[in-house]
Amino acid sequence: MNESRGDGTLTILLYAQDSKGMGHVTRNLTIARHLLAAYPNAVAFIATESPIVDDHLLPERCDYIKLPRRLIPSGVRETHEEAVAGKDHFRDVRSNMLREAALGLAPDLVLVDHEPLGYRGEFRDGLLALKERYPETKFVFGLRDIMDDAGKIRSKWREKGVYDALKNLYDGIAVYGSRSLYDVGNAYGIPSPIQSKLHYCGFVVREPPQADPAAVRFHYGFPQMGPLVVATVGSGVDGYPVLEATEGAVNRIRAKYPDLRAVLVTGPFMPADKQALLQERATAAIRIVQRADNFQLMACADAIVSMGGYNSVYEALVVGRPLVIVPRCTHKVEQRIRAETLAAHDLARWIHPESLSSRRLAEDLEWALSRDREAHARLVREVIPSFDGAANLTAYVGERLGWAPMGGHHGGEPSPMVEPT
Amino acid sequence: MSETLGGTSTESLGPNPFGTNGWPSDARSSVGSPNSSKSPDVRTVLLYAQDSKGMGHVARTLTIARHLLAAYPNTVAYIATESPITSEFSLPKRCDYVKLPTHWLSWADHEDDTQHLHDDRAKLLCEIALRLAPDLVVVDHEPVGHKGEFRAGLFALKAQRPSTKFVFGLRDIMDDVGRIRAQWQELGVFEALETVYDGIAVFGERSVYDIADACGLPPSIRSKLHYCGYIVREPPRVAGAEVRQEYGISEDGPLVVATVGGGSDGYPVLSATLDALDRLQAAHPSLNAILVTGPLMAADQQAALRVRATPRRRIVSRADNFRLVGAADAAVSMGGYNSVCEALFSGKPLVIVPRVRRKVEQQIRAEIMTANGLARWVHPKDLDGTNLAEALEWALQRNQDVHARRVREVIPSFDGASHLTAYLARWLENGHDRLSSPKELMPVEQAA
Repeated sequence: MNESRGDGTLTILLYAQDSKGMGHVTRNLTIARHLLAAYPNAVAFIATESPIVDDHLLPERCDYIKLPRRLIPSGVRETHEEAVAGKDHFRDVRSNMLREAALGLAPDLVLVDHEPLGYRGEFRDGLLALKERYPETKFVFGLRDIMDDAGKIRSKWREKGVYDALKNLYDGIAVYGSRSLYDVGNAYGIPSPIQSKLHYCGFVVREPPQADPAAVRFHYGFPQMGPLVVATVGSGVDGYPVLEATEGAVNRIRAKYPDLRAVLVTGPFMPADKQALLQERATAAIRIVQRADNFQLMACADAIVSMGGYNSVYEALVVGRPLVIVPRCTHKVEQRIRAETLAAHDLARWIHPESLSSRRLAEDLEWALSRDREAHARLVREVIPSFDGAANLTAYVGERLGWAPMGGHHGGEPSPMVEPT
Repeated sequence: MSETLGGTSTESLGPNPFGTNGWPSDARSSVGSPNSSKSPDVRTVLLYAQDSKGMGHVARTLTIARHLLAAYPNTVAYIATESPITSEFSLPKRCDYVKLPTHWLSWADHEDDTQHLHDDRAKLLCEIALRLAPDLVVVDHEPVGHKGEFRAGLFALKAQRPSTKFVFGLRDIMDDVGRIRAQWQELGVFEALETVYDGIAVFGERSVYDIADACGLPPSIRSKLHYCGYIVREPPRVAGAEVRQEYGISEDGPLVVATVGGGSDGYPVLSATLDALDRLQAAHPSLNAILVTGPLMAADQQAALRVRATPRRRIVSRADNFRLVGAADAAVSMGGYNSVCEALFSGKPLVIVPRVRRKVEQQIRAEIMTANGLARWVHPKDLDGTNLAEALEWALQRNQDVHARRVREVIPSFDGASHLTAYLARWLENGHDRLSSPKELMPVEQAA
């Protein structure tokens, strides 16, 4: 217990860096929910750049600290040097804020997601200062399985001193994945003394929603029979080509599957003109919606199309549905590796965005629709035994910290929480 | 300003803002100069605002930010707040926010803890202010922050960066003036107004409420006062017929709109409104009403109201209250600044049931508007269907045009944000071209 609180309160600080999308924040909220359910005397703070706009997502006893984003007026043209100086300045702003927050909160546990020293190393000072002032603080690094090209990660980690931090700062490394699917120790060249700190927790997904396929079909005006395709593209910023191709693909295979229905979710951030283009092509059989509980829709689907983000992919897998992945292939290859890995296990098919066409997508959708649902679900369980990442993490933290779970929820079972519908 | 923070001695920051609590003597040295690394073309505005309950302060601050950013294209704005900025609000472009930990204070049981945590938050704010190195700081409502938490940060910033300008934005009525004066004395607000602030923007009318007299401001501070007028957010387009259609309300008969802000304490007002409507039924058989509970009203209270809904009485949980009031013939609301200003801006006769529990702010506002013939008010302890029906009867009897004219006589403008933007030009322009006059960017006239 740290000196700042003598009242038996456990303080958890979660750092979730998320420059685009909400994936990291969503995962950290799931983790916070599990930890807080297991430890009724705990409070949690999530430090993040993302605004948590939906109050309902925050569990009780959980608050967040929002870091500022660097803003540049569109009229301002920066030279490369100015841009670097500006970014450095901003890292400094955030770094100091994180440091003050960490020292002020004096957490008992710090859980750092994805970037062991924070974005551009912004949390390094804070972590070290915290360790120095409160040596009893526990530090856990939460590692999403696939991050990017492993060689690139290794050289980045070497350059930034991440291996030192893993060795000297962190008490544990929780892997939100499965060793059989992706061995992070090998991939990221974690030396054997540090490998003993690795703990595979399994994938972290949100609490699965109550799925009522009949109600969902009714909601979208679909008949109760006939296969259903659900396509999601995260927040939607870059998802238009995927949904455009999906719409084409569904129409192509309708001759073969006359009862085929589809729900395409644009996400709130797809540009309005693109949303309008899709809306024009909506029919009684192909619904286009801006927002939905994607997880719930997936649970009612027979086949799923999504991009390659961690949450989308593992939500599709946890409900055991065949999946077609169109990974984002940007400067990072994370999503492509995820797609390839799952395809190699026959759990998905994938299409490179450069070869994306409705014809290709139709082919893969046919594969997905032809899969035997139960056999596919069995295969998912064989390859990925657990999606209980958050529960396992909670148990792991209990062991590591000697915190006895005090909640009435054994095994980290979350208490009922309000999920957006 | 070329000295780095790490190299700045405690002395050069003036009195150590944190006593002996370890700052800034242990500030690290690896810090680049905050100013030299900022693009010289970019102006940074830091706004401080928070809501203890409801969302009025943050909403108003966002309106201000929107105006400033529209007028000054080379400006970026950061809002420091402990309030979550939820999906109810949209952030303008070039605007982001920094959220302080909210429960940091409230979770502490003991006074020592509270003090300790309070200091920590003060440090956090100080860090943010020093590192962002803003050109302009606009502080809403609490001149040295909530319980003085921004005081050290303001003084430190002033010492480190003398070119930064500080403006305190003051809602007209805050509370009983005696209490405000005592609080300000205790928190050192007068000193801050004297030495830190370059200007004090009042979001009200002097003729309606003279803040200098009320707060007993000395002449040296009075000279910094600038009345900007009331601030309302950009008014939505209002088409009465459209609103009625949307809510399935008949086109004949007057419409009463009742709102209670976030709703957590609004149940008695809406319940009494329904009682009042029952009483008015005989005299106004075609009277319509929309009651907005607000998202924070307890679910069972919302349910209790909903069972009393009829085709002419709609009960909804959320709505754009400003738009509804624009479509109304008479309004019922509590006494918050935004609710009252929005009803007045729309020129609608208003019945106010002020919140009176902790502060008398809303009661004073209600009294003043009533004294000017713009509203009637009912004290919560006298709140019942009969009293509210009487006040509503007055509102429904008012001639709308006459009433709207009366509002303009008392309150000539609701362009507070435009006037503030123009007022800040002396500090923000400084060789930087303004896009155009802020008024051109304001949609206020369109809907008026």
